[in-house]
Amino acid sequence: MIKKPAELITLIPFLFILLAFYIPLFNLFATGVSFQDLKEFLSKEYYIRIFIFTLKQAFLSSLFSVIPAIAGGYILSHYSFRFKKIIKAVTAVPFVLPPILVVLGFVLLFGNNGLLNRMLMRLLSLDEPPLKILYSFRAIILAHVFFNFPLAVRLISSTWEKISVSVVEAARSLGAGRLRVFREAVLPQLLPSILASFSLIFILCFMSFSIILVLGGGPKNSTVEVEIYRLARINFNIPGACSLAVIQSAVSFIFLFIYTFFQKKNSNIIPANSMDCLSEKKATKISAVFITVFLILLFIIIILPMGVIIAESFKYKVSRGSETVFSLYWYKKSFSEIGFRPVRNSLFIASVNTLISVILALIAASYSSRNRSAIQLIIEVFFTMSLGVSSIILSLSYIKFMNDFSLKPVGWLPLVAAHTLAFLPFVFKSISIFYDKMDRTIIESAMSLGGSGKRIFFSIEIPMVKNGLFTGAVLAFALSMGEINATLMIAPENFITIPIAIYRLIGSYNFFQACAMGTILIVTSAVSFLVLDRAGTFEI
Amino acid sequence: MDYLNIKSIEKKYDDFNISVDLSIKKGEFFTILGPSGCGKTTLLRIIAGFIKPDSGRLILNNRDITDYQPKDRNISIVFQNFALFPNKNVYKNISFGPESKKWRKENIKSKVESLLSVINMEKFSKRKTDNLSGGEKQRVSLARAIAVEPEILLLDEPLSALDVSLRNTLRKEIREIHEKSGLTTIYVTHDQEEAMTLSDRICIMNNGTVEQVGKPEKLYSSPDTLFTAGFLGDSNIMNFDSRILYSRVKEKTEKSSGNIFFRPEHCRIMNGKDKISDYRNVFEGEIIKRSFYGSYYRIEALCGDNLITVYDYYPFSTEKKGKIIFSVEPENIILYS
Repeated sequence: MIKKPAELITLIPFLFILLAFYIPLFNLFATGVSFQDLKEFLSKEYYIRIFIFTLKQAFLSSLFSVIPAIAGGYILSHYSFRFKKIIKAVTAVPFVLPPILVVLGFVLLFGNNGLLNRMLMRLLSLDEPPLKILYSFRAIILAHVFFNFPLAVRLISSTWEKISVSVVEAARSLGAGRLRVFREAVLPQLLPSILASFSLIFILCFMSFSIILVLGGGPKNSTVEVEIYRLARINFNIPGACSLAVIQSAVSFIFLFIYTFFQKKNSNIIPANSMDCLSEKKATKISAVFITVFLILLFIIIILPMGVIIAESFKYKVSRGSETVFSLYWYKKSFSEIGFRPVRNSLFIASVNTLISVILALIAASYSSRNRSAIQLIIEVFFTMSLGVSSIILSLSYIKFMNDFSLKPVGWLPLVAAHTLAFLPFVFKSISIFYDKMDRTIIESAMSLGGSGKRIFFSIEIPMVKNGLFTGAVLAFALSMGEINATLMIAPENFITIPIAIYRLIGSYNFFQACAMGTILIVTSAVSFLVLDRAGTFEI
Repeated sequence: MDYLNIKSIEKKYDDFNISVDLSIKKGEFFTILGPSGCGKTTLLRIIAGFIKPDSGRLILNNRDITDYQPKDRNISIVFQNFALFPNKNVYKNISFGPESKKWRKENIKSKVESLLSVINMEKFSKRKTDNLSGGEKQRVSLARAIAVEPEILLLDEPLSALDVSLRNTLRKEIREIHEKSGLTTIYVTHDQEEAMTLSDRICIMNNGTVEQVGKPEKLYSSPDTLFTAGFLGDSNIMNFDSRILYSRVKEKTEKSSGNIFFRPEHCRIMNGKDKISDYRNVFEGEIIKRSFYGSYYRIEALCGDNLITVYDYYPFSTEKKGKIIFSVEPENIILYS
């Protein structure tokens, strides 16, 4: 209940989301598409093919990410080995890694002139590159698996660690074989995390953008998301884009619901106590082989492409046939040609987004914590709905809204709004986790001791959630630095960010310069990641 | 004179209602005792101002505080889980209240220092609360609550998170602090021993309503209701038996149905030399369990359909199994219709 004018502040985040998310989106769905449009659009074979292709690639990407991740999750939760802590931390890297870097890393690794092909050609004395992976269906799946396998490993292993070992031991002592124990005692507890990973990855791949845009190689491997972008920005067919947006949002909301369902089930698993958790085994010989293979796989998947980007950015050949030397040439060239604008723009957008997201999320989380659980749930849903809408669709809704009401574009304002909305759910979650853990009696004690609302908020609440604020801020900053979708859609003319610069450089086959830009982005992602890992408060 | 008047306070929930009338005297140590879910903590939270009652008034020291915010009530609360501010040290925890009430700096300092000495924690003032033991935490929480010189101190099961020996020590300290400060204290607990050793008066609550209010001795020896009788201490309740000719409440003897109540320590176990005809109210039962408690055996026996508890004091006169015959003096029996 809002009783004082000062408490009107609590309305700000809700007003922001209403204005920047629900109203434009409502406008898009309510006025952008007629049933007739939709019917006509869906009867076109081209779009049906795209829709089926989108589902297919998302399904296969999720499947190929999750199945090996079960083995990975097993190893990570059951064995102790060297570098385990680092490996565990590294599984969170893709979360803050901009997709455009994955694309670039892939081109450098698997391209016709990529590292793998060059090595194979030299090794087997071939004239032609033997691997033709890029710009195909395979490339999309591979990149998606690259991106999401570590995420699945992280989710599954963290659940597996929690499964009570005494249940397993009790089942064993009652004479059940290993397989039966797994099937009846372990799998039922593990399954929600597997299905949650699957549905989360499905949503991410279903809405994947830059990977499809660059690695898909054209209309034959296009998805709904890319098609919306093409229709809106290249063909200027807004009604068409809206029709696809409706279809995509419907599917992503279904999977968001499924994900939330399994994630809730998954979070219900609480170990009896820390003594009851799995004790880690030292690896036996056979399992050592498995672990080594797993480590190498994870290394190739996460570290190698980034390493290649960094290495390439410092390579320079004065002329064809001459020796490759270490040089800052590509950096100098980039900065003299493109200037510091991309770096400045990216830092600017990311900083503004971080500031706004953290303030809004803090106000909302604090307000939510003071309410009954039913209202808390409504607030949470209100804040996380934007997860089910891709930033391409959100941007489309802005374009349409501005067209419909003849609003003049106001510089980077829509872009900031889109960035904030895209990452606000993560920031809100990071902060509200701390509010959830907060003991309400602490606040009540402060109230009964005569503390005013303001004093309690600043001297008790904020210090208690400061780690959440910090995590949220770093997440918002890192994700915003790497964002490309909304930027491509609604950034003002000539507003180039680092990811856009990389995208354009890849498009013009200017890979070395792309690597120089990519390295800058890797550094910001890596710093963000290290900071998050240090804080130890990051949960997916 | 009534200091806090809880006038027809009602609060309705989907599956539970509270309806309470109570008055508490100035300087009294008043305990609300009852089983889990009886509404005692809800009542405490209504007094503190965290829950708004549907109807009724709260009058504190002739002031109607029903609509006051918690911060304006001048009522402090101590919680079971200590609820210390984790980001503040011991000193800052205790000074939070006086600072909120904008006391003068020198008064705050002297208040906190004197309280630190009361709880014997002068050396801990700069310590983070995370590094304190459970007992130390609860002492700080207590000091923090009384630092603001509240008109009423509320204690919500403050000892239940501590181990037994610590509980006994802190129990004494709480009573000492109460006596020294003269604070009106309302204490919520489900632990009868705590309630009886600490309180000036006890209020027994059941199912959202007050069963009985009185001094501990009075509640124990002459409970008004069957619930109080059964809840407080070991007790025996059995169907009315025509053999009961005399009881303390004479007028009840004329009734022919109802329940009788007596305490296990009032059962006199008879041996072979006793003549049954010399005694009134003689019961016979079959021992089904006999547990050693140090100074006595606690016997459970079946008398007809009733499970009865009897204490066998030294020199012990029962065996592990077999018959038990005991008598209860009429003045120790109460009849309930």
